[in-house]
Amino acid sequence: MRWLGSGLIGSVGAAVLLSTHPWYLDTVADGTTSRMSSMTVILAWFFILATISGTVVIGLEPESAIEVRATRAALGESNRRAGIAAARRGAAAGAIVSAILIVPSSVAVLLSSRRGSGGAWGWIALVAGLVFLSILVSHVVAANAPKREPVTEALRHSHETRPFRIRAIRWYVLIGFVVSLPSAIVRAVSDGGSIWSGALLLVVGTASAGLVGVLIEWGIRWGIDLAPVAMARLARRGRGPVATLLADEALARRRPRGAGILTAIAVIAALIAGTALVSSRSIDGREINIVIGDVWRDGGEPCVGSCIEEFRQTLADEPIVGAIVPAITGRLVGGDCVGEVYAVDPALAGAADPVFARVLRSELDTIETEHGTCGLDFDGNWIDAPVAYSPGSGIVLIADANTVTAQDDTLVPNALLVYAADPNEQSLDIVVDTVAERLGLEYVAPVSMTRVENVVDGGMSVPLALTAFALLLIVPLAALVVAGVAERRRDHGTLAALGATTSTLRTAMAIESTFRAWAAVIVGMLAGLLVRLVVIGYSAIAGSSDDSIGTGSGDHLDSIPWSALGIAAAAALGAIALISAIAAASISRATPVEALRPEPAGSGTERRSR
Amino acid sequence: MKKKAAEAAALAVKARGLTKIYGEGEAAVTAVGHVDLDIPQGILTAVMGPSGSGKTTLVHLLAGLDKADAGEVWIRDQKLTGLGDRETAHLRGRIIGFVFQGFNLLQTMSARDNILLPLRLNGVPRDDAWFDELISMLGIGRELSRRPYEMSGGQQQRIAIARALITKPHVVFADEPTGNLDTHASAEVLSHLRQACRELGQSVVMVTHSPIAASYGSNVILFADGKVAGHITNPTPDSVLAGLDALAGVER
Ligand SMILES: Nc1ncnc2c1ncn2[C@@H]1O[C@H](COP(=O)(O)OP(=O)(O)OP(=O)(O)O)[C@@H](O)[C@H]1O
Ligand SMILES: [Mg+2]
Repeated sequence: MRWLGSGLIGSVGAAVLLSTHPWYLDTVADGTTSRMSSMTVILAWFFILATISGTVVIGLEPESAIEVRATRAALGESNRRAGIAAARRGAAAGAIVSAILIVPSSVAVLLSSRRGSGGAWGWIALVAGLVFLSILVSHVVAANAPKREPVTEALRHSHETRPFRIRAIRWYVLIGFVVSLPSAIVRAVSDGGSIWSGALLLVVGTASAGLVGVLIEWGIRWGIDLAPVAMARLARRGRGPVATLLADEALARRRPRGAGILTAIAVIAALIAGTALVSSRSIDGREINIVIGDVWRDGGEPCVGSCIEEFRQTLADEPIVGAIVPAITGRLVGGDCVGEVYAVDPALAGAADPVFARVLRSELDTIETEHGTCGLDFDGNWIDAPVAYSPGSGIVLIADANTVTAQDDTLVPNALLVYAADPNEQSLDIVVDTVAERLGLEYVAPVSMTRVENVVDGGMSVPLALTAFALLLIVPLAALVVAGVAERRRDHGTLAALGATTSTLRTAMAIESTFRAWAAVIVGMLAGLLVRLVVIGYSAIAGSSDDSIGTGSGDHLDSIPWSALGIAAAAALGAIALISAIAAASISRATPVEALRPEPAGSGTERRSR
Repeated sequence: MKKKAAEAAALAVKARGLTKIYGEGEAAVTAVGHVDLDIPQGILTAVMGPSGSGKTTLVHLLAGLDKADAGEVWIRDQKLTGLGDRETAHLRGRIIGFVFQGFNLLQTMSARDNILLPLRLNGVPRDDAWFDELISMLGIGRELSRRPYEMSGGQQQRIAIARALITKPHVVFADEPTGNLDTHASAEVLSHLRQACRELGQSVVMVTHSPIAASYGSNVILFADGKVAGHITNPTPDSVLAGLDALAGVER
C-alpha cells in the first residue's frame, strides 16, 4: 500500500516531468536551442520526486513501526543489524517504486516516439536511480534515528505531541544546500556566470529551503494540529460528541508529523509542478514535410521576379510538391535573437498549413516574453517588426510581410518554402534540387523538416496543470486518510466502547482530515509561492533569466499564474473534503473488541522486517 | 412481554446459550460455550477461573463489546442483539461501564480528559462532586494532567476504573481491575465497588484471579474451559480457594 502510493506519486511526477521538460530541445538539429540548464532542471525535478517518494515511504510507515523498532532495540538488536535490515527493506521498496516509476515513463516515451528520445531514456534512468537511492537512504536513516534515545523515550515519543523545534530546520537547510550546489557550480563555470553568482545561488537556495522548512514545521504545528480543533470549536461551539473528539484531541494529535510533512511537501511539489505547467510550454507534435531555401542564379545574383516565378511554376507541376510559399532570407537581431532565418508571411503560411502557421505564430509570444521584440536584418535592412521562429527550423514569421516589403522595395523574396503533398514523401529536397538544376538555378542551404514541435504557451496546458496538481495532491491525501483510519482502529475501538456512535467517529474523522489537509494545502501553497518569489528575487539580483529550477519562462511576478493557482487550490480543497468524507465512511462497524485487536497480518512492519 | 420485562428486571445481566468460537477447523477454540447466566442486580459478582478459560471473552460478550457466534444477552431488560448504532452507543455510554484488562486509555489525552471522555461523548453533564470523590477514592489527584504513557501500570488502571465509573453506569464490567494494584489500593477499589452496589444499586461483574478480591463479592462464578463450572455465594478467601482447587481437580 505504501509502496504503491509512493510509486503512483512518483509516476505522476514523472509524467508531469516528461510533459514539461523540453528534453527534445537538447537534441534538435540546430544547436542554438539546446538548453544549458537542463542539468539543473533535472536535479530540481529529482529533488521534488525524491522528496515525495521518500516521504511517502517514511510518512506512511505504520505507527507501530517506531514501537517495534524500540522493542527490538530493547531486545538487543544492534544499530548495525537494524541498519542492514532497513537497507534491505529500503532496497526492496526503492526497487518497487522506481519500477512503478519507470514503466509509465517508458510507455510515455515510446508512445511519443519523438526525435531525441535518447535523452529521455537517460533521464528516466537517472531519476529512477536517484529515487531508488533516496528511498534506500531514507529507510536507513529512519531505522537508526530513534535508536539514539533510550527505548522508553522512543516509545513515549511515538505518542507525544511534537513541539516546534528549530533544529528540524537543519534538514531543510541541508537539502537546500545539496540541491543548489550543482546548480551553483554550473552557474559559476558557465558562460556569463561568475563565482559570485554561483555563491549567491547557493545562499539563496539554502536559505529558501530553510524558509520553507520554517513554514512547514510551523504550519504543521498550528495548521495540522490545531485547525481541526479550532474548526470543531467554531462549528459546534465545543458541544456534542464530534466536537468533543476533535477539541479534546482524542484523535487529532495522532502522527501529525509524517502526515503533515507528506502533505505539505506534496503540495509544494504540486505547486511547483503546477506553476511549471502553467507557465511553461507543452509540446504537441505533428508530421510535416517541408523544405526551405533561397534561390540563386548561376552568376550569384538572387533569383527574383520572373526568375523565381518561373521556378515556382515549374515546381508546382511536380506531383510530389504541395503548397509553395514565398520567403525572405535574413538574420534575426536584437536581444537573444540570433541566427539566419527565412521569413514567411503568416497569412500565406496559414493558407498552406494552418497548424504549422500556428506553431510559428505561438513562437512569436515566446520570443517576446523571453527575449523582447526581435528585429530582422535583411541584408543590412533593419525591420522592426515582431517575428517568430520555430526552434531549429530557421523559419520565421513576419507579423506582416507587407510592412516588410513596403519598408524597402529592394527587399525581394528569393526564397521558397515548399510543402510536400504527402508528409511521408522522402525525396522532396532531391526533387526541388533537380528542378533548380534544370532551370540553371541553385537552391541554397535548404532546411528540411519532417516534424513540427508545437510548443504551446500558457493557457492550453492549464487543464493539464490542474490535473497534475490534483493528482499529486489527491493521491497522497487519499493514502493519508486511509492510513489514518487504519492507524486509529484501536482508538476507534476504545471510543466505541465508551459510547461513541459510528457516525460520530466518521464525522470527527472527516472533519479532522479535511481541515488538516486544508491547512496543509494552504501551508504548502504558501511555501511553494515563497520558493517562487525567492527565485524571482534571485533572478532579479543575478540579472539572469536562467531557468534553473525548471519552472518555465517566469522570472517576473506576472509569471505566477494566480488565477490558475486559485482554481487549483479551490479544486484541491473540494477534492480533499470529498476524499476525507469517503475515507471516513470506511471506518468500520466492527465491534470494539475486534477493533482493539492488533491489526491482522498484512500491515506488518514485523513481517517485512524479517 | 410485560411479564418478561418484569421478570428480567431483577437481573442485571442475563445470558442464554452464549457461544464464542475463535478460529476455524482444527485450530478452533471455544472460548465461551453455551453459557447460561443470571447475574442479579445490585451485587458484586466475581468471575474466576484459570488463565485462558474465557473470562475476558465472556465479559466482552456480556457487555456487548463483541459479537457472539450464538446466544443472547440481556442487560437489565434490554436485549443486546439487533440494536442500532445509536442504541448500542447509548447502552455502552450510559448503562455500562467497562474496565479493560489492558486499560485502553487514549494515549493522546491527559488522565482527566480520559476520565471525562464518556460524559462528553454521551452529552452527560459533569458532576464535580462525583468526579472529586472518585479521584480521592482512587488516589489519582496528582496524575490528572499526565498522559497515560507517563503513568505506572497501577495508576493507569485506576484511571481506567474512574473512567468506567464516572457515568454512574448501571452495570460495571471490570476485567481484573486490581491486577496491577497493591494490597491497600486494591482494598480501596474493591470496598468502593461493593459500597456502590449496596448504596447505589449498581451491579458489578468483576474478573479476578485473587481469592481476596473475589471475597468482596456476594457471588463468585467459577469459569473453566468456556463454561460455568460452579457458583460460590457469600465467598470468603478460603471458600474461593477451595472452589478453585476443586476446579483444578476437575480439570485434571
Ligand atoms: N482473538 C483470538 N483469536 C483466537 N483465540 C483467542 C482470541 N482471543 C482469545 N482467544 C483464546 O480464547 C481463550 C479464552 O481467552 P480469554 O482471553 O477469554 O481468557 P481469560 O480467561 O481472560 O484468560 P486470562 O485470565 O489469562 O486473562 C484462550 O484460549 C485464548 O487463547
Ligand atoms: Mg482475561
